[in-house]
Amino acid sequence: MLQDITMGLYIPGDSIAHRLDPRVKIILAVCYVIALICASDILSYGLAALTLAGAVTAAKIKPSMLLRGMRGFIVMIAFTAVLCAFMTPGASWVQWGWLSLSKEGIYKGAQVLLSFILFIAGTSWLTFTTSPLQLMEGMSKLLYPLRYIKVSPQEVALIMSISMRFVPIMAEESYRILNAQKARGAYIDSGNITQRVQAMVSLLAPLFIRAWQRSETLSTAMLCRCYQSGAERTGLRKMFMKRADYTALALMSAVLLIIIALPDYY
Amino acid sequence: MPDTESILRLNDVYHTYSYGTPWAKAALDGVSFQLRPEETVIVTGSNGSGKSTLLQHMNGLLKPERGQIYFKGQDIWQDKKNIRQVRFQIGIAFQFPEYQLFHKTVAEDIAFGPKNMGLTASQINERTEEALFFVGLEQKIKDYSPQRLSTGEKRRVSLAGIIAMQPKILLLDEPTVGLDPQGGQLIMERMRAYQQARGIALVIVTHDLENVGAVTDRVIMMKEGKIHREGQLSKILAGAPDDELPKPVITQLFQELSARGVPVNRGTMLVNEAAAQILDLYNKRKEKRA
Repeated sequence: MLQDITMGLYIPGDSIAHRLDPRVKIILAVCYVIALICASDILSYGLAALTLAGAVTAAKIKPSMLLRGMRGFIVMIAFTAVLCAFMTPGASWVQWGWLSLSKEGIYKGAQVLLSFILFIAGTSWLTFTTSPLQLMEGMSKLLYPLRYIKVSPQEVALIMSISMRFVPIMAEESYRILNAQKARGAYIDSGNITQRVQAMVSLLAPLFIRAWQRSETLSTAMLCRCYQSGAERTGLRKMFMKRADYTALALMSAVLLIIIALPDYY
Repeated sequence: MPDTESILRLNDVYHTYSYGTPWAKAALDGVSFQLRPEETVIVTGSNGSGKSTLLQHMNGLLKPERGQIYFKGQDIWQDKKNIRQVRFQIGIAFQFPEYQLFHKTVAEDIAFGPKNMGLTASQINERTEEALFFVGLEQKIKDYSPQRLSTGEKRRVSLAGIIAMQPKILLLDEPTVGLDPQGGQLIMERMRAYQQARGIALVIVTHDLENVGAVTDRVIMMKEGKIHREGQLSKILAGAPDDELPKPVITQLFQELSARGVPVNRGTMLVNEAAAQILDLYNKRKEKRA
């Protein structure tokens, strides 16, 4: 169950995409998302899909991994797309009682479907090719301007990296507690609604206690190593921009500009 | 193969974690073994050798990729709906079982398993009291909050929660880890006493061979997902090289003596065995002089 979640996972590798500067990769992902929001016609979506295909190839990720990540969202995506298709006003094309489907609606629904799939695939690409640590380092560097509004980018980055670090630990912990309660007959994946709620309590209560204990241990450990909030910190690995980074940025900017400009030619 | 002898039988069991992903890791690589009723088996081996995975297969928490598991001659995965019943009959305590405690009182927590089995209130009460007795805790702690007990007491409460289900097989994953020596010894003694009183089968995963010497009939040593050595503990201690498993202090002493040419048993681990051998040697020497 918990092992099936691939979103947010890092796949170690040594491809061009893996070696890109994490800051660049974050910017690429943001540009890609903006491009998706701006896209409104077949050509733009085609271009976005092409960009994604290029990025996935450069990362040497199996497309099946991307699909696995999408599995958990299928219902949500389908629901949103169908809702969009029926709720968009327009000249009725097919009519079932009070339900009417317009050509505009179908078009809108398909658009939503495509955007979602491309969006999830694109963001998965970022986490697949960038280790959580690199992601946080990149993020904290990009958040640097926050200093001017009296927010410490390092604090933000630390909070994010600790939460990220704890995700697999808590997942493992919950898996273990889940199994322990299952062994005592808790209705984890069977039983009626009351039984399931009780089973959730048997999982969440111990998990919460453990999280609390762990955070206390962690803060003590940090104090023991003289952690001081707000102090200037240096990094072990410095980030450098290479030619591949500039190329990737240039390509992405071109894609973004084309997608923004495209509708004007119609 | 006739299956009247064993209560639990694993037939060529394979298990791979994260199957089909880049992190795929073989945890069990063709494991077969039989457990007789009323038998005590120790499973040992280094970290990551597949001990805990093996244990989780024994009561159907994990499903083997390949191979079968028979409980009383029945394939436990033949009917998926029965797996809950199997889990009630094969109790398991994970490492640090105290982390699973979640009720407001000790009694309620011990009753969680029996309640899920659908027993009546009086049956549950009876089993709770009995379970507390077996783990050596006083009845008055029934109304305490589990969180205010000591680690050793919490550990015993969580074991009581499993005993209260009256399993036919009890699986313990490192029951003494993180406890002081007396606490660890107490738990081993209590579990052994319970096993003998009830005539159940006991499987203990442990590195702590010091405490299990008097408890065990048979040892299984795991290595890289396979059964590496199997047999009587004293024979395994005598045969295995030093870096393969942590040997009890007495064994270390006797192997040192043996290496210096003193004729003693290299597999000695119990105080009385050791004393008998030393006395024997002493008497022989005395006879020689006389």
